[in-house]
Amino acid sequence: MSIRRLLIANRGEIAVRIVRACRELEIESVAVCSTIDTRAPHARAADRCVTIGPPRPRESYLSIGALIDAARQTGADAVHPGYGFLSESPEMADACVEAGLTWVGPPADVIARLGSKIEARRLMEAAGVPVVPGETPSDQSDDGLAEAARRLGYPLLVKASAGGGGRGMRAVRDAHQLDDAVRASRREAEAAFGDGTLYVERLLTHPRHIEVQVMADHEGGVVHLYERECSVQRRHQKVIEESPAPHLSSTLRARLTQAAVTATEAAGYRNAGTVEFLVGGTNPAGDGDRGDGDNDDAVVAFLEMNTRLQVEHPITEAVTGRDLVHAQLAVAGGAPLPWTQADIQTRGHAIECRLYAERPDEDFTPDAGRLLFYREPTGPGVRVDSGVASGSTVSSHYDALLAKLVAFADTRDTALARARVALAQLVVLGVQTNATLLSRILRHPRMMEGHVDTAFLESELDGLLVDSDGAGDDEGPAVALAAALALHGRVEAGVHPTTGRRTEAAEPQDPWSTLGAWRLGQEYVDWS
Amino acid sequence: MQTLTGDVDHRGGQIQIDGVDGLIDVRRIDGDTYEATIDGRRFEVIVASGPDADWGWVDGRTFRWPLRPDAHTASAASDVAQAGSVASPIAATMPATVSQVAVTVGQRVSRGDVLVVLEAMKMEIPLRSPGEARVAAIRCAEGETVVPGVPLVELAEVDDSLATADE
Repeated sequence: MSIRRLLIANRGEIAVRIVRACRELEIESVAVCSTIDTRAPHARAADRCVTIGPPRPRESYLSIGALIDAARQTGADAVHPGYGFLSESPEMADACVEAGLTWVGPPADVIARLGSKIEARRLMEAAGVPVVPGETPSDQSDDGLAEAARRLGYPLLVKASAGGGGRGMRAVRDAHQLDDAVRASRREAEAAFGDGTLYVERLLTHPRHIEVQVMADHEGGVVHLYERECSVQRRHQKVIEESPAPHLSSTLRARLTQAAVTATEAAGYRNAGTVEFLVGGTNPAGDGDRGDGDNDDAVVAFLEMNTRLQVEHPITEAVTGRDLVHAQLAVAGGAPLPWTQADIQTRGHAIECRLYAERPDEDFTPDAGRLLFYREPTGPGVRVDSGVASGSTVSSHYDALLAKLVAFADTRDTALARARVALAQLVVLGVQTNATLLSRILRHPRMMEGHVDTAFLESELDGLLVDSDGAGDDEGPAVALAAALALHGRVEAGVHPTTGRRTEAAEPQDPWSTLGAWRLGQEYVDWS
Repeated sequence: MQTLTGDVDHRGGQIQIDGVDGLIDVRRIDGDTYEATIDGRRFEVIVASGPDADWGWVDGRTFRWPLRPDAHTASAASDVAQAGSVASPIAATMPATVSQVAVTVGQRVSRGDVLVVLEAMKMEIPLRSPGEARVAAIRCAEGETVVPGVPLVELAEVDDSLATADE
């Protein structure tokens, strides 16, 4: 039964992206929004929109009742959960099926099994998929977790059993740090997932994070769509992803994709999913000895399976030329997989940069506010998936991801160059973002060589937070700004800033006094 | 030295900036978009005014200058460079939920100690003490939603402090 009218139980860029697929497939789209999102791009993009509740996610985007009501009210016959929010909630999947709605995702019992880190590990071990050592102590007290940590050894990770996206997760180097980490993780896990159950896991030092995109249908068909390198992370949150993974021998690539297909089959999986692996045992970066072909024997360990579409799915779409949301909707509607494994080949190289509203130099505190000016880059091989526009309000209630910039080219070097140019074209005024950090990462020698691991960003962060690219030595931009402000001051002069009435003083403000303590030659880039 | 002279009307013109050789051509393109030409090199400039800061973008570089230097109360207070100055109130920089109050009234705190943990955008944001102090008052409770700029914890100078002068 193919889908006729789809409710998108999400917001932001992913909701906009799903609406686009709906239009291409001539499926009617229904957006949902909270009361502060009624003018948001995702709310305006869809054919219909239902306001489902107040800004707090628990009362809107996380409210199963409100979402099912919205689907009923609009006559939707299917629900796409996007990522985050209720995308990995078995209760939501169940509620949809009970309401007679098609759930665009795997069945509730599969989500539940894979969502539990303990069960997922057990399943993968039984299927012969390699896993990282760890345990969820039955005694969840501070003492119980300390005992489990002692058995496992340090360094280790404290993780939320129900978690994902780095929330409720802490790295612990030694026993002294354990208590604080356990309390913080438990609190975050309870707040984010309503479940404070914790899990301790061996922390592999300097592994790469490589994941494999899979797709499965109702008839047991499973294909993989190759891998994504997601090692550029901070606090276990991905920042830059690329496909294919650089310096991956064909033997290692085959091991990863085969393990992913085995995992998918073992889970009885359906629809789009991602099998995440840690890959270690290769030489740490820097000695230039990790070229193609020398990492056949690297350690591969199953990390988790994400039972939804991923944020970084566009890079897979770019290199495989396949539309994952189209395939999701087809498979959810009962169709078999649109491709065989032999149909899936990769071509060229794709890089995604995640644009977050945050202040990298203030410990990555999320930033919020109104976007005074927003302009996206365009051009050949540049795709921008975004959920904001000029005038949008970036709210602290939601994820700080504003947009994803995807650059695609025939070679990795050209893709990197395209990504750098795209970032330079991007204009975001009104909230601070990580754009400058992203462009510095893209120019970092290790990134340019493709030798990154999950420790890369945090170990290089201090250098990346200062003007490492020497761009501040060029006074041109600062002088140009001063000159433009002089003219801007003339244009704005004589208009009272709040009343809008013309005032007596028609003289433009001296741009130097406007800029305050800022001077030529000083460090002037104020992270944004 | 940082003066600027020139002959501009609302559409554009030429200006001179001390310390920079030659005249700079500047013109308004559209709305808040300008173009400046320095020694034949062209720059696109976009400017915008926000509630707490002004913004400028020039060929891929973004500038931001707060309207008041003390606009970001909490970030100033949490800045270790501000150590010793505990007079500034501890406040959120954005709407957030108080997930933990880590101190009690009267407690002695040192620089870097966590006072309050906020949650916003699903992230935990600790507010830390800028220096040696005593907690004078707590103006928030766990679970409460707080707005930017409103003090959450008040700190006082440590009464029995012996050597805070002449740092």
